[in-house]
Amino acid sequence: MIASLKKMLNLEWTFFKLSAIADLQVPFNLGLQFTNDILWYSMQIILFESLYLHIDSLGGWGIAEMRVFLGVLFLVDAFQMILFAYNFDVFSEKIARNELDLLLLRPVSSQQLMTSQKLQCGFLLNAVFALSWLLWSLSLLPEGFPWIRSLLILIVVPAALSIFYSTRLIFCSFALLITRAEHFHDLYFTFFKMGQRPDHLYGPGIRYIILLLVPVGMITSFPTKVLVDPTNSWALPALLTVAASYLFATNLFWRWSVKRYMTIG
Amino acid sequence: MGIVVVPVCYFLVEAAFWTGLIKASGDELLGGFSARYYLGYFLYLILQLGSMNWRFERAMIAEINNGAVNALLLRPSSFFEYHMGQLLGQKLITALAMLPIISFIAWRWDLPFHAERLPMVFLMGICYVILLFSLHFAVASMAFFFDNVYSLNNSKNMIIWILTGELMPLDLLPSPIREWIIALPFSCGFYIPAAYLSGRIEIDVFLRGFISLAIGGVAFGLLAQFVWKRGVRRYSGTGA
Amino acid sequence: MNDVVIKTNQLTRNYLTSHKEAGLLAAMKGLFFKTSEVKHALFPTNLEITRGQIVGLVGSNGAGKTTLLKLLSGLIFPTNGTATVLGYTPWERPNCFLKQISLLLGQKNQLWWDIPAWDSFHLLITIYDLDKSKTLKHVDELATRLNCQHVLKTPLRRLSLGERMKMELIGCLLHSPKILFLDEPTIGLDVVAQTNIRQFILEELKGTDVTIILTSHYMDDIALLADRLLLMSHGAIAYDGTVDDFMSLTPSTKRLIADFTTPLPEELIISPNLKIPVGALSFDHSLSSTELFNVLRIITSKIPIRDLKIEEPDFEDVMRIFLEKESSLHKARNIV
Repeated sequence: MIASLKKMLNLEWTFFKLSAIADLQVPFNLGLQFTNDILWYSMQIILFESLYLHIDSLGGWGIAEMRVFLGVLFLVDAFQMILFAYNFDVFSEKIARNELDLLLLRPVSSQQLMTSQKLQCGFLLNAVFALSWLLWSLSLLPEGFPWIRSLLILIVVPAALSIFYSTRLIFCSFALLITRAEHFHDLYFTFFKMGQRPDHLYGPGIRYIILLLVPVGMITSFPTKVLVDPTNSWALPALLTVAASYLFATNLFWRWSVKRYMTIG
Repeated sequence: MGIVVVPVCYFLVEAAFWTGLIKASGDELLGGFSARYYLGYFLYLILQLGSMNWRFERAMIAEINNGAVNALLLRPSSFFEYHMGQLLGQKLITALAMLPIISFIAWRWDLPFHAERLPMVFLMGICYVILLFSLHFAVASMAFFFDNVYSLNNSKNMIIWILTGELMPLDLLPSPIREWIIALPFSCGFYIPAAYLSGRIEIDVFLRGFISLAIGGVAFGLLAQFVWKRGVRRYSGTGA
Repeated sequence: MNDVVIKTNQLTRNYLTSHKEAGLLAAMKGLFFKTSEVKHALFPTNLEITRGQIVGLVGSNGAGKTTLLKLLSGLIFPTNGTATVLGYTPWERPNCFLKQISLLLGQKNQLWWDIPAWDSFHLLITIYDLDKSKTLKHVDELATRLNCQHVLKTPLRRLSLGERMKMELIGCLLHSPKILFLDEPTIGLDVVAQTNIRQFILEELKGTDVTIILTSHYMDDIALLADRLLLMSHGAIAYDGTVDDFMSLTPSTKRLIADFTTPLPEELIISPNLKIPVGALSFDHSLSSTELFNVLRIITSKIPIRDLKIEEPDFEDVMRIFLEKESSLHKARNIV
């Protein structure tokens, strides 16, 4: 198991190096990628800052807590853009062009090859911006923020990323099972959009869907709860449990989908 | 099925968010409007007239990059007309197919929906599609000059998304930013038709939108023509 | 010692396809009433391939070549039957099996598009757990033999198709596979690039322990490289033997081409089935060996000849005749 993990990390490091070489061929693109994401961050900031001009609190969260929420959202988004986004965007196309066949013949995990081969190194700048925003917003919390708690970022962000990865992979894997799966991409982002808002804004039915069924609601809301509320003792275990179990379930689903793909031919 | 399900899903997401938001704020009104008005506003999402089809845009850039544009350049109709025709057709069919769904949702949940304003809203939607297409065409034509235009295209779409009011009703923005943004032609992509259809604004603001649409349409049309002509002249026939 | 590396026993693959008619009404009808049919991509096949053989797998489009290739490389499951490749069941895809095989697809890039092949090879070194310095030395040697050293460090997208294919070939050979699946390696290449790749395979791989399954629509690839010919038609192996034996299967015919000095003044009847019309300026027919001498004697004695050629049928002609015959036999069986 340790040897497999070591191989995976080694491979990921090689992906990073090659992706950096590829990205540096088009430096103009790096600047644009950064700009695009900053624009997207600005949209979220404008939305909530404008809303808080008209209201004082949203489900007990004031503007300070909401800024922390946005910081977590930006940071998770930045890392998923670096590690997975490009691969998931071209996932269906690759399946349609039978490029998975070539990956199935490599003596390494086809799941890793399909989902994280091409990294987008330009978004590292966005990760720096996102982390800065997060730390700044934590410093503005009304009850203060002991800085030792910022180490929790090292736990909650990977857990959130893992949930993002699992949920996105499950939706993308439908491309292995049905001919035209592009609308699953749109459907996923519909759910993901719901996860980009605090989960306590939604009614119980929707919360059930976005926290348990397609747990996109955990990607940003739960890490925020862990960070802003030291008295909350259940958010972190819940986040870690869902992250681990979904990662396991996703791996099983991937293997089953590949077997179906090989059966259908 | 995706053409029907996806826009309805977009609406449901916004509906869930805005009703939850207003409830969680503890007030019945947000910016002077109740949750019903926000639902009525976001009904326009289902028509999909205000948004560009991202896959379609990427396809056009890919055609220039890989040389598939060669075949289209040899056809008796122009590249602009070819793609415009495709897009308008897709938008109109989607919008017409969605009308019964919108009407049903508005009736079932008693949402503010002025059906008699639909013809004018459709007209604005079509004019906006033409304007947006011209801008998109100009940006996509930059694929003649640059290797990778996708990021530039994404930037353009991101900015437009903020300016149309699809993210949130523009009247929630602070003054004077609100007035400046509503004055731009992009507000005709979502805010003005959606607000007019739901009764959030009246005919005077709606008609002012046509003026900015006309100015924007001419400007982007000229830009598209200019960039395209220069691009074709420069074109090296990649993949021919 | 000729040990068997690939063995199949009643290996079969069927697909369930839905039958769809053209037209809008038919498309709408298809939403509610679906008809499916079973397509036999590969009928029960028994095959043994020994180590070091180069097997040319040919056939018309849809004959089952790719299906057989995919089954042997482990990309799809069979409907029935078994196969062992290097002692493994290919579709279980154990890593130790995957490290010993390689697949080259003529129409697909496996290397990264935006970076030089040299950098992509580093990825393959990691994937196959290869020794870095030894492998890079091996890359240099292969590139020298393929005459593409000068483009090793150029981004793949800037290379010509021939150069790209050479890089792909190097990538396939880095981990020294025991079995190489080459699916149309020379497709779309110019004559020079095709010759380079053929020569490379001939000089570097033929006669070694590497077993090669080669599919190609270019008969020159097969004629030059293949030790053994597997001809597939409609999901079954129609011929299994050497190229020379295959050539001797077809009746011996030769093509006689004669150009006349002046147009023929009147119709010349050579036989009840063979006439040269009045005004003809040339004669071009395939004739059996027995007919050839007689026709040649009549033409040269009666008509002033400007130019004369006698051509032997080449491998491609023989293949075409064989496949056409197979196709008409298949149609006749289906009608009956």
